[in-house]
Amino acid sequence: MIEFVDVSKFYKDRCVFKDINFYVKEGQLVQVSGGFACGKTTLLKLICRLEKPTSGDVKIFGEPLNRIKYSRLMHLRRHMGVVFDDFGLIENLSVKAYLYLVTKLLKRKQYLEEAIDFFSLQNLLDTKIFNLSLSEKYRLALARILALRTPLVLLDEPFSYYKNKQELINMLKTLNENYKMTIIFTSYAPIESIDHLDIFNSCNVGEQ
Amino acid sequence: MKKDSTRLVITFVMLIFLLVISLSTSILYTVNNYLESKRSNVPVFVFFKDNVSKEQALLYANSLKTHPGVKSVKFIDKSQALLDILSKLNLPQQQFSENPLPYSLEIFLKPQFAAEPSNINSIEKTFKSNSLIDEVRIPKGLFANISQTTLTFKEFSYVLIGVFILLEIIILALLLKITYEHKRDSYDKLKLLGIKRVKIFLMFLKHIFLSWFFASLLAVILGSIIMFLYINYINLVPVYQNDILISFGASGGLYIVFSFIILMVLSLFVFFIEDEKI
Repeated sequence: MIEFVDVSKFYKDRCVFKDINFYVKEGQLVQVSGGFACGKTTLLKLICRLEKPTSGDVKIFGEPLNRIKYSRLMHLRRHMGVVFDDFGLIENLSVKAYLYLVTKLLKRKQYLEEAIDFFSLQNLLDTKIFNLSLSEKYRLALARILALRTPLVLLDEPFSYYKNKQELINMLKTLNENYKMTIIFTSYAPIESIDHLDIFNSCNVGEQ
Repeated sequence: MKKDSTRLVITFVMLIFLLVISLSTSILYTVNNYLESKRSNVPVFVFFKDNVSKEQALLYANSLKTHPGVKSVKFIDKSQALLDILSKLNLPQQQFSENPLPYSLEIFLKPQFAAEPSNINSIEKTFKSNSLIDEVRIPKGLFANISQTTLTFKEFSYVLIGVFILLEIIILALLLKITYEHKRDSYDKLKLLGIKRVKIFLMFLKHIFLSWFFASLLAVILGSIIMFLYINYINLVPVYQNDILISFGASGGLYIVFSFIILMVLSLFVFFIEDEKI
C-alpha cells in the first residue's frame, strides 16, 4: 500500500532521512516513534504529498507520487484520512455542520450516523468546533475518517491530544481490524503491542 | 475564534455602490433630458416671400411635418403676427393700411437632430433652396452652446459612473482577496481530504453570491423607500418625476445584473490568483 524507495529528505543541509526503504502492507497498524524533530511528521507529509522528497520515490496504492497529476493526487487523498496537529477541522463550524459538509462534498453520507455513534459525538453535534477540547477534536477527526471510510489513515502524534492512551489504542485497533483500515501513526514513545517502523538514524549510516 | 465579518462588509459595500450608482445615473439622466428639452425648445423661424399665399404657406408647413429632423411646426398667420406686435408695442391697429409682415413658420427641431451642426446647416439649405422662402433665422450659436453643454455633461456623466464602477471593482477585488485569505485555511484543509478545487471554488462563489443577493435585495427595498420619500415629500422637479423613477429603476436593475457579473469574474480571478495546489 505504501512504498518508500531510496527516499531522502533534506531541509537545506539538514538531513532528515537518507535512502530509506520500507513497505507497509494493506491492513497493517504501524507506529513511527522517535524523539523530537526526528522527522516523524515529515514522513507522514511525504505520504500525503504535502511535502516532496529530495530524492527517491514514494508510492501510494502502487502509484508513484513524484510526477503525479494534481487531479490524481486529489483522487488518492480521498482514500487517505489524515490528522495533523490542527486536526484538519474547520473551527467556526459546528460538529454536525462540519461532518455534514465533508461527507456531502465527498458524497459519503451513508456512514455518518455510524461514525457519530462510534465516537460518541451525539451530545456535541451542535457545539462549535473551537469550543471542543483537544480530545473531543481528535474524536471528531477520527469520526470524519470513519465516516469517509478511507482505507489509509495517517495520524500525527495522536497521544499528545488524547489523554486516555489505552482507549485510543483500542479505537485504532478497532478501526484497523473491523474496518480494514491501514493505519500509520507517530508517537514520541513506542507502544509495545504495535508494529514499529524504524527509519531514523539513516542520515548517520554512511558516516558510521 | 474571530467572527468572519467580510461577508457583511462586501454586502454593505455592494449596497452602497448600487444605491449611489443608481441615484447618480438617475440624476444625470434627468439633467441630460432637461438639456435635450432645452435644445428642442429653441425655435427656428422661416419667413415666406411677400407674394406667397396662405394656402401655399400652409401646404409647405404641412410638408415639413414629415421631415425627420422636425419635431413640430407652427404656422404664424401674418395678420395674427401683426396684432401681436401691435399689442406688444401698444400701437393702434389702424396705423397700418397694409400688413407689411410675411407668413412665417416657427419650427422646433428634434433634439438628436439638432445636436449635429451639419444637420442644422443642411436643414437651413433645404429651407433656403425653396422658392417660397425669403429668410431663415436659425440661432446657430445657441444650438452650438447647448450641444457643447450636453456633450460635456454626457462626458462628465460617463466619467463619473466609470469612476464609481472602477472604485467598486477595486474595493470588491480587495475584499474578495481578504475573504479568500480568511477562508484559505479551511480550503486547504478540505484539499487535504481530496476535495476538488472546483468544489472549493463553488463554495467560495456561494459565499460571495449570498453577499450579492442580500445587497441586491436591500438595494431594492431601500431604493423603493428613497423614491417613495422623494416623490411624496420632496419632489423638486415634478415635471421629471417619471424620468427620475424610470431611470432609477432601470439603472438599479442594470447595476444589480452588472455587479453580479463583476463579482463572478472577480471571484474567479481572485480564486485562481490566490489558490494554491497543495
